[in-house]
Amino acid sequence: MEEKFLKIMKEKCLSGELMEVKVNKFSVNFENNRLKNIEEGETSGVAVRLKKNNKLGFSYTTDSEDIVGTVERAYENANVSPEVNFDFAGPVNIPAPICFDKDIVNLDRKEIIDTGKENIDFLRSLREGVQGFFSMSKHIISKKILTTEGFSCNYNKSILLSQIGGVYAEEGNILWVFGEMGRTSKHLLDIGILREKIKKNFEDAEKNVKIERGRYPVIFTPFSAVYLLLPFQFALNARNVIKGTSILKDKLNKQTFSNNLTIINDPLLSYGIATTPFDDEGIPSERKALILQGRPVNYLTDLFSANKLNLKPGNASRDLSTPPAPSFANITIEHGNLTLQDILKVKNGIIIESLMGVQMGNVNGGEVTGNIELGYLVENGEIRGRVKDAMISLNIMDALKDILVSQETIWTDYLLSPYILIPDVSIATKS
Amino acid sequence: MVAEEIRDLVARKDVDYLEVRFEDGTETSILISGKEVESVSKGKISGGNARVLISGIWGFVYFNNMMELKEKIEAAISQAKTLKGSIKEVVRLAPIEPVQVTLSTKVLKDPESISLEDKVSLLRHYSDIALSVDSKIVNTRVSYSEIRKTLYFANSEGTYIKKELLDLGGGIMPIASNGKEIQRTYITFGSNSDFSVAEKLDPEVKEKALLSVKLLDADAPKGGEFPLIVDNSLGGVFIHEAFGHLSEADFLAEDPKMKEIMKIGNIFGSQILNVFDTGDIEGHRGTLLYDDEGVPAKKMYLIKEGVLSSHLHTRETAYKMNEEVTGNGRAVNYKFPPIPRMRITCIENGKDKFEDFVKDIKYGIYARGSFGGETNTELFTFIAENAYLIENGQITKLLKNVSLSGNVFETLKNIVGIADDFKIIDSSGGCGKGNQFPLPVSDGSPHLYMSKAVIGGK
Repeated sequence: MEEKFLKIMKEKCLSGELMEVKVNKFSVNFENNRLKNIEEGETSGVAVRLKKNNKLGFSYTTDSEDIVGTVERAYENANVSPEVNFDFAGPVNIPAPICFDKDIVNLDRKEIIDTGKENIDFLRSLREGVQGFFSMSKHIISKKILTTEGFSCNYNKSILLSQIGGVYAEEGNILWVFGEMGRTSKHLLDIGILREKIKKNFEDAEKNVKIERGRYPVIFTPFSAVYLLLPFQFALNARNVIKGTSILKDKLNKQTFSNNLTIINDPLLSYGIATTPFDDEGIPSERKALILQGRPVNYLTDLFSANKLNLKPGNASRDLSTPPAPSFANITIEHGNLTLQDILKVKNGIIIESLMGVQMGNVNGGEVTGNIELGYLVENGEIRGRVKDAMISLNIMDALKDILVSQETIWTDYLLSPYILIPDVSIATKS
Repeated sequence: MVAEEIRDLVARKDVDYLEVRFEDGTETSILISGKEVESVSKGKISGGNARVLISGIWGFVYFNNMMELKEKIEAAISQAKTLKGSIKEVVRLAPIEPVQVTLSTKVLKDPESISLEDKVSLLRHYSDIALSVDSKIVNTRVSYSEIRKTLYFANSEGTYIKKELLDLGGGIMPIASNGKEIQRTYITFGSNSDFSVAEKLDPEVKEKALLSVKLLDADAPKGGEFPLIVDNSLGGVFIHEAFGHLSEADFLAEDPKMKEIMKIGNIFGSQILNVFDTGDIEGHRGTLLYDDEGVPAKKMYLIKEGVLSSHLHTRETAYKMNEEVTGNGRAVNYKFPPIPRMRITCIENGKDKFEDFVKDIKYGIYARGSFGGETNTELFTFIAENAYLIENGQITKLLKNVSLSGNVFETLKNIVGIADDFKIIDSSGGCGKGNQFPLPVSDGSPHLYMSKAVIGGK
């Protein structure tokens, strides 16, 4: 297929890029305290980008034999597609991949089922009447990118993902508790961290407490810090900077947030879920600071935006059916000097464990607004109970000017984060 | 692979049940950003799955290449057999009559009759209109997607269904900025049969672009609990998020406490409240005659005059709860087995007048347009595109960044007025549940008056 692709490109005097992807998935799912089913499957496909009179045609297919048809569709689409000035990736040295673990490939169904049973027993022991759920899935991915400019590299990646949680329902009160984690090394997937979180969530949510509407110090845990990142995902995207729709478009190297805020994008992290040796356009991966002590210092780029802004590309991500666009890889929010105990010593604060609806709000404008799905009232280090029927509303441009961060950090999916205290946040509640 | 071969492969006597789904089609998508085309793609997707039930245990395998069907059926059988002994509670399926049908949607204006060039031109036209309204419109995002596929379903009970499906949708988002903040509005459309829903949107685009600009100078709401009126769009999202998901029987079938909370006959609202889920209204993204298990899609009243009347089922959950099948077993694509999902979910028309709701409110909120919502079955939240303050029976100031939330059970009881202006809304995107996104669905509602809801704000 690769030879055929290069031959067609040569015949048509075009430059082009071919991406081949193959994914094997195997997942074991427990629901309502019991083994529910196993799902397994294999998918593969190819995606083609080509330049025709500097216009970028794109097409894809799940039929790997259909390279001729895919190139033809991309060639036709190019007539109405964007004009670009970048070149596809050329020959280059790429870093050694650190995202494949044969122990994930060899992980058999019995071991996964036994892990699931053990975790369901754990969930059932937390509170009588809990309906536990657990899933573990392994994804073995192989990806290759080939360009007419001479780039030809591939890598294999093994992802092990686990979700664990429980629901407890009673008249007038339903409690959902859950956590998820993914790694590309079996031995780094520590479900114990999730179990500890879930146990504490059930304990802390034992009783509900009422709070008044007002302004509170709010603590985002490493599991909920991801909501604060949503506006950054949009604002640091170089394509939005070009369009003038990024709230950080004029903020490069300017003090914009608290000195305590540093955010690093690291696609080379050993065995991270988003670790890759090169991005989805064939650009070698590099660690890059995005926010350094409160100053935006880099944007997330792809070939298109990097060319327009005269920056280095390298943060493109895509699946089979979508063209590449800038995206986060593994993200680290740097820790601080305070202990979690110090952070929790707020007089009357709210701990956020999970929110609902944030991603549908005006995240483009920096808003983090949502229903507090799981949160607690904390007074002088003591958890007083679960806060319900309350909404949080903040804008990162104001709220993150003043933050405190803990020494303690926890890895979730792609994010390593400390506990983050924002001293003054609006909380709306029922009367 | 031809129909006879598929039918032969599934007609096995050594399993309790076997089904095969296979889909083959094309996807087109266009994205315009401001003055530029950001991407155009046209792809070809095909894939299928085999799902088997042996001794009450499921096996499920998906794949791309239909030529491998025979070996994938064996893999699913082997998977189910190896789980024997690991699963104690076995699955049984509610019975259905086998059918052999070929279904095709009556297409009014076929998107295939419009060239890719003309589609791109139309979307660029909308983008240009929005950009020309005001210099503060700094960008737009105009999107279009079109999926056309043939879906084959066959099972060991003798059902064989071939469906020709079309699903199209899109949206136009004028984005305004004053250098400090960003505001946006959204015009969205969708259909299972008619490209004309994407046409003649110029007046709406102008209106929404102006609104994006006005929102820059609008106040954020004061947070708290207030009387609330929601428009058709938010009413539909509310009932989908707040009650539709709660009615999906996989949340209920094995949880005794949830079953008690969602027991048929329980009172969920006043007598004015009627909620239904159906597949039989033509022309919408949620229109469905047979679900992905070959079950006829029935109209189900979830709430009738305030009283809980039915749940949404797959064959598995219907058997478990000893209730009738409803035709809600849906899978977003070949990589997933069917689970209980909504189709067209609506609050039925009422008798009240929107104007009377406004007159009744001393201080409250009128929320309009939807950016979507989310639920965890008890709590829900949804994001309004824009809102107005109501003071002393009059609509007054425009408000921005309005999100609303509540407790599902309380909020349904807080619906004190249902207007007589029912409308079904089809939007782009779709419904997400677990990893299955975006499933085409539609929502419908008249204007609703809620005595109180929590509004997020400063």
